[in-house]
Amino acid sequence: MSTRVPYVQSAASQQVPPPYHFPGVTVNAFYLNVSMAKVQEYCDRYLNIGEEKTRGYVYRPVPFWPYATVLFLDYPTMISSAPASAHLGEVAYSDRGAISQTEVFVAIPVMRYGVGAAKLITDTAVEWALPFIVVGNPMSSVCGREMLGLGKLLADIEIGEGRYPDSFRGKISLPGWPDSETGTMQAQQEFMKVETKPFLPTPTGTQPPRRTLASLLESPEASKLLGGVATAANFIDTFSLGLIPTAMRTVGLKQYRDAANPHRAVYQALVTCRAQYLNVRDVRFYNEKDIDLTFNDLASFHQILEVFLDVGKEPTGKPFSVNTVAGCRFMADINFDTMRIIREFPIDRDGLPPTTGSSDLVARWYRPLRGFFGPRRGVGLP
Amino acid sequence: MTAFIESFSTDQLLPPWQSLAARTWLFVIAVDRGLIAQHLDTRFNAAAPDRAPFHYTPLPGKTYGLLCVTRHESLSSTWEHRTGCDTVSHTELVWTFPTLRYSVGADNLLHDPHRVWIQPFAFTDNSYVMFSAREIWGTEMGMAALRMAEGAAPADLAIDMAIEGMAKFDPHAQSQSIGCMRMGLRPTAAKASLGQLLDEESDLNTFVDILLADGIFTGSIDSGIGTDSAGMEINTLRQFRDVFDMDSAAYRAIVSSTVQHSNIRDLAFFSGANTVVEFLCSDSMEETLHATFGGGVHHPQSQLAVPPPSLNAKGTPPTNWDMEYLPIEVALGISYTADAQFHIRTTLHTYGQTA
Repeated sequence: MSTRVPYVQSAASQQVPPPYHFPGVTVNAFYLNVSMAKVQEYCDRYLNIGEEKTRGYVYRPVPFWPYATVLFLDYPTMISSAPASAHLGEVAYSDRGAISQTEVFVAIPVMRYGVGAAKLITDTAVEWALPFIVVGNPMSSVCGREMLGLGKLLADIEIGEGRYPDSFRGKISLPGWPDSETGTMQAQQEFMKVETKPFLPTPTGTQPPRRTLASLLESPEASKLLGGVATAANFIDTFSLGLIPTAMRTVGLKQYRDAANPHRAVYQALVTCRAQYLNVRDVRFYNEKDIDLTFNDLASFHQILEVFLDVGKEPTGKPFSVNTVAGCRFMADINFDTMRIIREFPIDRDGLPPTTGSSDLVARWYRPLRGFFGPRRGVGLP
Repeated sequence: MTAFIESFSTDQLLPPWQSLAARTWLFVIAVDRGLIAQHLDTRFNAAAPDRAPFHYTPLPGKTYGLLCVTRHESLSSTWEHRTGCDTVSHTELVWTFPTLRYSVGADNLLHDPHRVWIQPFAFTDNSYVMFSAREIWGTEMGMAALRMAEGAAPADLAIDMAIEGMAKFDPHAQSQSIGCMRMGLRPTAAKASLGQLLDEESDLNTFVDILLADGIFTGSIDSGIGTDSAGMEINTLRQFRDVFDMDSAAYRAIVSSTVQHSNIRDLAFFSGANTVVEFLCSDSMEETLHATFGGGVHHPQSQLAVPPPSLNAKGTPPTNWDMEYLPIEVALGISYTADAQFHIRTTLHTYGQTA
């Protein structure tokens, strides 16, 4: 956007600006197989928008890591460190106190390749698509949706210890419709649940692990992932302890409808944000055979599941059980910052030429060099 | 046309909306015209950076607003002429006031005054409605726990609202369910005739004429008082933050929509003197209350005899109602049941659009 349009800040706006700081977060992560075709389908629909030549990039799955990660996060404290708007005389967000919340999301690594020989090197990056994300705090859902391009839904999220000490149990309930009949009333329904036995070593597990996350890291696939990514673009810090991210850069499609014609978009952009995991500690692994993860394949939930699971074409109305390949629990401090629009798409307008759009695709590792040696890109098409 | 890319997270309640048998309580409240003007100047009249070809002013004379609480038993989308699609129920609270919208001519003079309603803030207890209202209509709607109960007698009315927030801002404070608003009728409250109430407060006549003209409690469709009215026209400032520069908007526009009521029933009027509306003075609500109602004398406790309920979410601390109360003087109370149609007319102006 070439013209700066001011935002009118008010308490009623609900949009608490980043950066955010989240100390002492407990994370339970579960890894499941994901179809590369599904990931490519997701990339093509939500990320590879427009013609490849014009947009200058293409998103593809990370072929040597065919896993999706389901993360349950318990944030005891969430702090916005954004400064107060000087002209409003507001209390700074960091001085107001903290909120707490729970969050669950599915993360799938995707690789953004620059188009052309030079940009294949300078514009290639690993990012994380979040095809499903729910939170327990309404303000968090509003901020995620309206500012960050994350499709956060508001859910009832119950997490805690399962039947056994040091085990985990999580449950998500979402508003939905049990069938697609006209007039059926929306109701809060169970969408997903997970239950584990205690983390390893445990006397209560039923079978020895086929492959723990630790052993998964020693696999040829993981070696290729770590080695390949590191060699390509020095992204070794994207992964630590296997797939416990230390710098998870998310990518999401931020878009707004036209009010009078809801099938028309008035704004579309790809937004990335960095979730930096610091002080990762107390890492514990679950036996993947001790993890029971099911989704509820109800009518209005089916369209969520078909994005990343191999469910049938029609909802079955029954639980859909998923085989996990690994699971772990750890604690971390998380910073959420460095928001960036990497691609603002041209928008058709009535009576005016389309907006020009813009791109800022330079990979993180190359940004200092690019900034030192060349003019800043980001205004107008590359 | 740039197509909106649909996903389950943006699977919203597409307009128009239809609400059947919605139960509504309206509280007419006198409001300082300077506060209305301030809201209009910062939201609608400001250059951002271009000026919209409209100018908004408060209505002449004594200015009033409506605090509306509605229980929507069956709200659904009628997008593309479907009926009963995506049916939900929810309870909402909306603060709204009428203004005049003038067209600004090439000569910079104001022409064609047209009455429109502004909604500075709103709350709902349904996230699906909140996302749709915010992202399509541009309504500044937040989530709340809302309870609306009525009994055999008018005095049985109890409306309570709690939000997630802080009673007092402090770096060590932790958000929780906090009381936000209470409404009720005094034990002596009884239905009254509108004529009698208007005789007692003659300033209300003009405002009630506006409510009649916009069909708010008479109905816009088949009202029986003449030709159908267009209903209430509502203008909202629809804006979303830029992700990189938080003081900038990625999109900012003025949206025009209408609400038409029909099939009005169970209409009743109550004296403002028998009505209790009070907000709780938390730091989370302070800015909104100050901008809406200005200052006022705080009371240490509620004027309602019934103790406030706990509206906290499962597994969280009970709702904190232990705050000072800001009573709001009510001029008139109105209750009715009606059907309603919500329709988006157009986007009146999009800021920052240059060739």
